[in-house]
Amino acid sequence: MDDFAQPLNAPFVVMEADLEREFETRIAESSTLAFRVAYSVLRNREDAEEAAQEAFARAYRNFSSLRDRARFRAWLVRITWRLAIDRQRASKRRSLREQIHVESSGREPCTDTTVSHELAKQVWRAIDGLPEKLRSVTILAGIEEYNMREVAELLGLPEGTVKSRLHEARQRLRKELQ
Amino acid sequence: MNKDEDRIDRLIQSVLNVDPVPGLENRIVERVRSEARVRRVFIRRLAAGAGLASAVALVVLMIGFPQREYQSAEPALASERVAEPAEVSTSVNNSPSSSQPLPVLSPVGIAVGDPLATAASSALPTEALSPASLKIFSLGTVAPPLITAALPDPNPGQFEIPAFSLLALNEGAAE
Repeated sequence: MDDFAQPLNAPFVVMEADLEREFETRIAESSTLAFRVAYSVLRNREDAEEAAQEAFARAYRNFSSLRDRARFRAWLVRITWRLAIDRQRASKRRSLREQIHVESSGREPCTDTTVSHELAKQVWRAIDGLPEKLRSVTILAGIEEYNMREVAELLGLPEGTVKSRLHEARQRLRKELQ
Repeated sequence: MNKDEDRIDRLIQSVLNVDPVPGLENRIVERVRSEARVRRVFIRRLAAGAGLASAVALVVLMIGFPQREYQSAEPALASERVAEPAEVSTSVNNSPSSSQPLPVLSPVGIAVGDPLATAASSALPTEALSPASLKIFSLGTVAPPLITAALPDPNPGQFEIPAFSLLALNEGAAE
């Protein structure tokens, strides 16, 4: 049946191949970003990787409908963020069990070795206590190494708004972490 | 930026800058390719299905078309059958071989009892209502050619029943 249909949909296949090639370059640019965004919500490598893969798959399905390809990263961040939150809500109990298991096993796979596990927990708790709009700015600023212009593009906000939100978030975090 | 802010930024970065397991990019590419394969198969099947549906629709149309033509021809044939006696009567009326003058239809209308027609019939000449002319008239109008062909007349030239019936009608009207 597929062989029969081959001549009929040849233009579609060519279009799909072009789309696929273009998308693969996007993957190379943004895979780590998607993973980190997912990780900031899920705090688990496996879940974050699955969420990132799912986000790319979903982005691929709708890639042809994305008019402004320059805004791919911002679009991907939003997809990943939503997917990660959905996944977190769906498997909150399971994630909690895994986290407990990891803690009891003495491994520390999620955080940088220069920060102690206890301090990392404190930082995450403080970040989780922020309102949504401050939390997203803080996390993306941390991922993008405080490049305000990049964060403003990812969130679709003016740079001044990003700066003021980040300033407010820092003040709140400082109070929490003292 | 003061020291506190700098410290907080570094803390946030340290908890966020988690690198994925090596090979994430390849795994994502693989996942997207499998997605693309599924999509391609779906598009191919969709195209094949559309082609098949079009072919079936075409075949159904081609098979159904002569039937429709036949059905649409049926009423035409029926109207032709209905029109047959009229054509025959017309041909009889316009026949150049007929030597006798043929009566018009108005005397038959007298039987209906139309006062205007009754008045008109009184003005007609007596030859128009003669049995001979009525016989000829009945030959053309009352007896359809099909029935005539199916039942050959044992006494050719004499059509008593239609003639009498018309006579009776005409007599009744004359009274």
